[in-house]
Amino acid sequence: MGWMKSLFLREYQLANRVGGGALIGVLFFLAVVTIFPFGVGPDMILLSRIGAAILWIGALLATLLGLDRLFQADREDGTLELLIMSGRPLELVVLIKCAAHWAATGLPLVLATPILSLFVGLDFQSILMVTLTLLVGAPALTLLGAVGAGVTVSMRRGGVLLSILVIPLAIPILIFGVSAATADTISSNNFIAPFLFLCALTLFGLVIGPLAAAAALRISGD
Amino acid sequence: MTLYDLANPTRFLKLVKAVLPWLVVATVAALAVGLYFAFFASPEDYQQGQTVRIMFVHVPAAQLAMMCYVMMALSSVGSLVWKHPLADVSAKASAPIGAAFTFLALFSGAVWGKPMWGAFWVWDARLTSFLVLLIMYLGIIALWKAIEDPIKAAKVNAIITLVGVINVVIIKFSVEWWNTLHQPASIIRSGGPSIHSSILIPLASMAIAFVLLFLTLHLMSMRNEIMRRRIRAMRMRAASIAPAASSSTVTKAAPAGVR
Amino acid sequence: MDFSEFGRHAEYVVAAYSMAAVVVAGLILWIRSDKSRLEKEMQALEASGIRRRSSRRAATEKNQVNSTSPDEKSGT
Repeated sequence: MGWMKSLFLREYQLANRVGGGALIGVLFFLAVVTIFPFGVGPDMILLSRIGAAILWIGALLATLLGLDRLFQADREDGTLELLIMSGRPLELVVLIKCAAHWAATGLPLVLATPILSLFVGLDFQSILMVTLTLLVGAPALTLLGAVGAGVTVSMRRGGVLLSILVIPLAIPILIFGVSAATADTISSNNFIAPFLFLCALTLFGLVIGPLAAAAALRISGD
Repeated sequence: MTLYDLANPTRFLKLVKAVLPWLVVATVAALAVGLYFAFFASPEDYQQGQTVRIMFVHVPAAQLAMMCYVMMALSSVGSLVWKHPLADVSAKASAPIGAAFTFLALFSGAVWGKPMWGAFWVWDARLTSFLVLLIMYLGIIALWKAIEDPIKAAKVNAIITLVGVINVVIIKFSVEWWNTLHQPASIIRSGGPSIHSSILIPLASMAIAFVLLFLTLHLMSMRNEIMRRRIRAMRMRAASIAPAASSSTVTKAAPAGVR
Repeated sequence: MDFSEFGRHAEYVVAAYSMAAVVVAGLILWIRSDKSRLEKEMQALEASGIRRRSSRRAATEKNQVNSTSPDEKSGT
């Protein structure tokens, strides 16, 4: 168990210290949310109607932004080779890296969501629902993004291609996340059903993400 | 045993050479029959008028778009489990054909939608799923182009294809769910009218023609791909023997320049 | 069928079928041009004395590089 903890701490610290860490993701999130009113106009009623979608799309883009460095930095300095050769299950290594990445970039996004919700005129209940769906859905984005990151790890400029590959995979997450977040009340069936689907997608990502990403990393390793 | 001298690709090429002419003839014949039925031997639909004839392109193209993905997924299993080079070649050859037919399905769907729905595009569940499918195809083609080593490219593509095949099911389900949430129920489904036998005959013959067309294109494209890999192997050989042949030293480390 | 009364919305039918023709013709042309390009490249390589490993038996004497085993760098 010790190696898992130290790997997590290493990844978390690296993610926080390199390139601005959590702050830069939140800053990007803020920038995306800010440009929406300039696009659709400062109509508070319209904004509060599409607010949950704005926040979700902002979170999706902010997550995609940092994903291309998930394995690439480790590949460049040789850490990835060591991790592959260490004899630890690579799927578990990927899972820990994803967890650290989520803790460093996904979690700050979720924490920033209630504040950014105010800019798009959401009421208290909507804020709660958006935050809750992002808390559950953001790990799925990271995990499915890890597949794209693993597949594009050997490319020098894989970031755009990664986004193209991952966005189709992220569509179901977005659909259920936004559907749950825009339900009338938190106790209604309109919230519960898509929210449970969202949970299922996260569990699904928990399995498929590490498996596929580890397979892709092994290929790029040899 | 080296990869490119496996008997199978060579035997496969022989097979292609023998089968391809017959396949071309069968495709042309089936297309002729299908087009005849589509234009001359099928009645106008009393509701849709002439536009019902778009269906004879749209439905086979859509079916082929999905068939191509199934082909790619099966080939991906082949290249991951059995590591067979022919499976790699088959997966790579399927992607552009699949993208082309997905585009055709989208285009004919839009053109069909204009007189039916009054708009070229509606966010109908099927059209949306196909748009996502097109993005997936194009992403896979881009990934093939981005990785130079064909074996690595094949494995990496196999992974993303197989993740995609699980996801296609989820996307289809979620898009339909999303669609019923947002769309009024009055929209005409792109399945068109209930299938009548006068429609069924041209539809079936066009579907058969399109499948034959796919097989023809796929085999031609696979043959190209095998040749491309042979050329690559020959180039690499040339690069590795060139310094040895010229200076007869043992430094075969740098296959530089000869590309 | 009488083409003079092709009916309304005929342009959509024509558009769909002509796009189908364009796409299929485009695919065929692309594959064929790719093939002729590859064949030319293959011929150029063979003309310059490079053989595939399987058809190398005749060429080994001329090439004086028979020291390295052809199986050495497999799988590229």
